[in-house]
Amino acid sequence: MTRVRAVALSTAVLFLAGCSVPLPTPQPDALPAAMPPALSVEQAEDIVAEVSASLADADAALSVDVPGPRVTGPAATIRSFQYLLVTAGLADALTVIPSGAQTLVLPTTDEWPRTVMVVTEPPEDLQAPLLLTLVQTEPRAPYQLWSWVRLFPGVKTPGLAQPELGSAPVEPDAPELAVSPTDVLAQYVDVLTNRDASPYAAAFTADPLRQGIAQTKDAFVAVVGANGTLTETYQPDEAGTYSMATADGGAIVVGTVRTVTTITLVDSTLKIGDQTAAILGTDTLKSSLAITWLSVVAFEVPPAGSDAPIQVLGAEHSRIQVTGS
Amino acid sequence: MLCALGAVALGLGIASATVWRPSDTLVAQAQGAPGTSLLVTDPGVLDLAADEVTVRASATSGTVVIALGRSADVDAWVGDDAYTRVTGLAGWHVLATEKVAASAPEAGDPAADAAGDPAADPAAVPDPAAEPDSAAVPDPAAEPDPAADAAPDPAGSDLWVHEASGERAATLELTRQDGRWSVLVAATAGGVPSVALEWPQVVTTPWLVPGVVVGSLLLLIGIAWWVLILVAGRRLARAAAAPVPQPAALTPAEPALPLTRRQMRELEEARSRHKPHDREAVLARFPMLVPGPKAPDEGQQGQQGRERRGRHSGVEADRHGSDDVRAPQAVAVARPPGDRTRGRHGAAAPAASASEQSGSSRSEQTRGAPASGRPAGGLLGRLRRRPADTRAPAPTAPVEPVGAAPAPPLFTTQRAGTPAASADAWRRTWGLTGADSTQDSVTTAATPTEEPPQAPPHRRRPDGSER
Repeated sequence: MTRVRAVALSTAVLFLAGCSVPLPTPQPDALPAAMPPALSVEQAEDIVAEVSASLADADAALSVDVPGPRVTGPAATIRSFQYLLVTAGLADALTVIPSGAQTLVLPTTDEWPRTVMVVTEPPEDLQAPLLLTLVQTEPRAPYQLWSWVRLFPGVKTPGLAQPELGSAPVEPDAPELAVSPTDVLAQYVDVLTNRDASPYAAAFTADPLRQGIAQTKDAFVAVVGANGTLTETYQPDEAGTYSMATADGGAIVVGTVRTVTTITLVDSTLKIGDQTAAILGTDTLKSSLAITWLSVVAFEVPPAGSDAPIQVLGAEHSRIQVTGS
Repeated sequence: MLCALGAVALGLGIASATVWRPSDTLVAQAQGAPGTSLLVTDPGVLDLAADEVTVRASATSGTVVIALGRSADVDAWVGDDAYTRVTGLAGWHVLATEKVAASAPEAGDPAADAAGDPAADPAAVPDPAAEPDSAAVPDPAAEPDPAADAAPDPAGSDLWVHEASGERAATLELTRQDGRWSVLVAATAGGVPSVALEWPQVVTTPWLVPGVVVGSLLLLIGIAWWVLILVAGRRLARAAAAPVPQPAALTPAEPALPLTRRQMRELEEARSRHKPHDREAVLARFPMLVPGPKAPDEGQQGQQGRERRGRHSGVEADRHGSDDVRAPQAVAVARPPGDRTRGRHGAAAPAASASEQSGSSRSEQTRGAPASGRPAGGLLGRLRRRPADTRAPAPTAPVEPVGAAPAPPLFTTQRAGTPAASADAWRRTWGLTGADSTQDSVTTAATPTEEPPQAPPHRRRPDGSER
């Protein structure tokens, strides 16, 4: 009997031992050959919505110093000045930034900073859609609105990769472009400065921003005339550039240009217009006027080896500082 | 044994699907390493056991945040902070963890430590956590970042795909998706978080049906076997119980006597050997009571006939003996009480001889004395089974008075006076007649009138004696 029991017991033990399953071990997916976008479309849409909501809160608060945690860089600078304008009585100074996105350009990267570009739905005022640039500078930082530009009418936006595939971020000195982003900005500044005399004039298509800057300067020059001096300088802003690759190997490059207009009056007065006057509190200046402009410009840069000109897709041109007396 | 095996198999089969049924979920837990308020799962851990996982996190105080992000993002978010890394399963219910020490630069360490010390104090935790800005700002030496690092809060980061948070506990249900994903658990108050991953499991009970079927079969077989054994045992017990001596003469509850014909024959022959002698002795003692005229002759004849007829004579002899009522009656009555054994044998002689003598005319005789046949047989059977020296109980009651007064008063039944009745009584008293050893014979002996009249025609032994 005991023998039978022993046999039965050992059989059961062996049986149970045979039944035991080894512990499962983690078997993560292999790192994909092609880097996936760092954000899903849903995440990006959520981020755009959050930025819009945050901006709306800031707009409501009109806090000049802090346009909200979701705005940074040129966008924050411009927005702050717009708050000043609103405070000064120009209620329509605020640029409306739609919360809906019609095109997402998502970065394929696991590094920082990360850039997301968004083409918004057309604003309600029937203006052109905006190209937003959102930047996450570090892992624990949120995506922030770095800039927005108004797309020029009639501009044909470049082909972009599907957001599910993502677009590669482009370094400021990327060699795979016909012109590196940094150089693009420099050349554009040269064109602004030297106009048609610039060797790069032909490299850029004509665009409303360039025309507008030239016309404004010419107008000031005409006003000031011999009663003073007017100088205007252009330089790439230290804010730098952010670029995202396009489907054809080119890139969308967003950079900023700082324009400083200085007018010195000699025994004369200068009547100034709406925004400047609102900020200064007077429309008549007796000695000097200094205006700092910040221009955010979006370029479409062809890939290396292409002879196509650089197209200016859109821009936002705003005063950011006005002094005068 | 078979029953036990069957019951065990049945029980095991059922238990495998009930008590021992594997859990519908696989739950593995882990506690964050001391000094870490962050816990990160390795890629692949979340879908370790199933595509769906429920992450439960808890902390002793403050808000717990669970966030799902790409593994690279989670790692980047944690950055240089110390954290606990869940690398897999250490057991079926334990997650394997390893502590990753902070790799912050030297500037960060003192600040983190300084901030970590108050964070370790439970009472002090809520205040800095509630007002991180005020805690960071007043201290000019500390950067805001290190202060925040003391209990970093991942809540709200754009990196997370899913996120959940709660006071001291949080739950996040996730479904596997392609890619490498990790969960970040953070105890924002600075405590050590614990986490439990719960995967649903497909539970099969492969042993239920086989166990139940085999167990039931074994059980049934065992029961059937048992029943068989029981029946056989009862038979044996009955056979064994039969020889128990009867306490009272006329009311034995004896079972049927399983005497074989052969036994009976042998017994009969053995008895018949004494018949002439007994009969002579009886006759010598009680010459006046010699019954029928032919009795002696028949005795001789019977002896011869018995030898001649051999095997089948026993039964008939008994029957006829029982039927033959004439002479023995007086013998029984007259016999002295002290001579029972001899008397018994002696009495048998006339009966046997009578039966032999009337062998050719059996039918008439049986017809003539129908009631007496069977009961006598039963009595005979009982007496036979008794050892030879037991003179005891059976005849006592009737016999004692007989010894005192040889008169009929011994049998006070209504049939006492009749020849048949007296013959009956005689046979009953001495057990000399009837191979029909039925159980009820004794009872009927006490009340002969109840004997069914149709019994006598039997030529063969009733069932009771056939065993």
